[in-house]
Amino acid sequence: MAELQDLDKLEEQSIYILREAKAKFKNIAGLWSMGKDSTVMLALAKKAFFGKVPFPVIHIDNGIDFPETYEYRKKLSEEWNLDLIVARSIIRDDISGIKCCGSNKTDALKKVLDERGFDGLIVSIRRDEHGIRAKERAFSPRDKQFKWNYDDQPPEVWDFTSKFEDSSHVRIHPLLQWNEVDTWRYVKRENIPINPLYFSRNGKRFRSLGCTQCTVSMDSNASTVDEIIDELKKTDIAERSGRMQDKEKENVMQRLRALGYM
Amino acid sequence: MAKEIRISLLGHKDHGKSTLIGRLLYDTRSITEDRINEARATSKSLGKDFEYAFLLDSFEEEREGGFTLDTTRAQVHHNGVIYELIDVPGHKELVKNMLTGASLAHAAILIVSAQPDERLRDETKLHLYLASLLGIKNLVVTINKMDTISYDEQEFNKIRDDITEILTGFGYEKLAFVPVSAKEGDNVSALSEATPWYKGKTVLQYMQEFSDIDYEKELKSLPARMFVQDVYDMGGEKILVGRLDTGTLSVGDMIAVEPAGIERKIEQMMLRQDVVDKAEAGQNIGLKLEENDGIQRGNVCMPADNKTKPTSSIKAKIFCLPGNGVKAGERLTITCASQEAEAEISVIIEKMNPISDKEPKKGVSEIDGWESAQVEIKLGRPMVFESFSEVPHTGRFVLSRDNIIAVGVVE
Repeated sequence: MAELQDLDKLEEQSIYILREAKAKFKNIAGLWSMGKDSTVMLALAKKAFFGKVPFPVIHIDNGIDFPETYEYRKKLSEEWNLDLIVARSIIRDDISGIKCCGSNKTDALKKVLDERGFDGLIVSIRRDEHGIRAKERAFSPRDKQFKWNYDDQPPEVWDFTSKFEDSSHVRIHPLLQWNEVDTWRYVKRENIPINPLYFSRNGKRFRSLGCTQCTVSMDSNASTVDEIIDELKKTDIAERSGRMQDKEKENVMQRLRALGYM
Repeated sequence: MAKEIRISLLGHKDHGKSTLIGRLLYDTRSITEDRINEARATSKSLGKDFEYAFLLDSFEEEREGGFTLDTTRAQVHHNGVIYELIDVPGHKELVKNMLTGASLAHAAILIVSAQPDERLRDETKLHLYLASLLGIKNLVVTINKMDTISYDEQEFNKIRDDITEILTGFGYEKLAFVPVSAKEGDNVSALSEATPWYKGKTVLQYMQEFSDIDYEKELKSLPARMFVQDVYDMGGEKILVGRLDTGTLSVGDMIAVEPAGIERKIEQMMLRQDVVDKAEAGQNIGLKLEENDGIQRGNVCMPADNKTKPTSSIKAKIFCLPGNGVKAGERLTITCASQEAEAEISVIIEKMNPISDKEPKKGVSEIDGWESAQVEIKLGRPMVFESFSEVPHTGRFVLSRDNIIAVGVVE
């Protein structure tokens, strides 16, 4: 049986990183996929900055997200008074899977970062999601070509980081330490509104959300946050098992991330 | 809620750090069947037997090359404790990645291979030196690959005696030694029949002992120190925010803010959006003082009756990262949490390579990569520093050009 991490401690770590990001960079933004993790990140930002999210949030929108996702985006961005930037990416018929994630999401992200001059980008990845994400630092630079030089990451000794002189932007990862079940326990504790696609309908639910093309739902009857937490405590299946781009070939996540994917 | 402790693995490459963590993850069922299957499939496709290390080493280069490139953390869940095991690379060229992982640890497990052609290596010494520099006091030594020497007690004792000599040199005394085979699982989470002569505990039991130490209580008992991270304007009111790293603070306390040279009473304290009376080590708080003017990021808050005066020079021990030599008088940046300033090494008292030198060298004007040194550092402006052994958070720093080139602790 898995032990549970202390949510207060996780919250403290994330708040420290978010405040550090705000103080260290001139112009930061957060990525918001409408998924549970990036929504938890926004809830944490509201706490860190005494009630408001003080940076723009970017949705990389390929136009084929689920309709529920768009409704949810509208509702929460109004409720939380978010400065929402919708970065449109174009789905091309001639490519799919890894190439699609690479070109659509990553290119759209490059474009919006260039246009708006963001030097810090908050990304809500977690160490337990994928072996490659487990190798990340809290502050992780991307070079001028947008690449993650994973084989030569700058040291992060104690909490102290390097100066990132040669980077195009720095990825900030306030949720690295969280586990999937922690996110859900936090959603419950803080009563955070969550995308309805996560909850079971007709015996199916999404455990990890991407676009309609590459995300597969799983068999589940969990229709409330409590039921999801229960389900996760028992499961032996990996969270991103419904995300096709992770598994096309071995090491695909490493290649995607090296090129700038989240 | 589960107790949490971070334990770093130390030792030369190929001596089995990732394998031991993989084995602990597997034995305690702290990893999903999916991840195990994935590691199995990769082992097979590379024509190897199942490698426990693949549960950690996820880069292509790591799996094909059979080494750890960068640090990873993995959680072992056992009996109400979360052990966050920090895997670090053993290559000495990758020591910056090793420091990234090991600087977070409460305790460490040193691994030395029993295989006759491996045993004591340069990296073993380097890692021990760095563990002692980082102030890691709790250490257990595992002699791995016992299966390759037929679980021989005499050989085990011989290796133990050899290592003890080095450990003593770095200030480690009376440590426990465990004969293990991470691959076969001997004495990792259960005592092994293959070593009936061994009367000690399993690796997991030693980890449990480390988790019994109350690290948080230790931090709370130190004098209060908070680095100001930022100052927020809340409707015309200035709130300073930061993490209270050590000690406790209460509303009404008189605090000194240095090097601003200001003393003020805490009027209000915020934890998130809540107003609180008291805060303790580990909490990120907001403070409203009687008057917050003149305070900025990089200032340090301390109790007025238990403060340390800012200084314009420090005496310290430093270690230079590979490829980053430094000359006395060269302009650098010194960073200690949110405190940052220009700095230069004004005097190199002595230096030595912790791997190869027996005696320190004096009368030198530069320090090379992989060398440690005792130095005096002249600070570009007054900063708050204390002895690392008294208050770790105000006693540690990094020196940078564009990147971090050295880590250090104040004497």
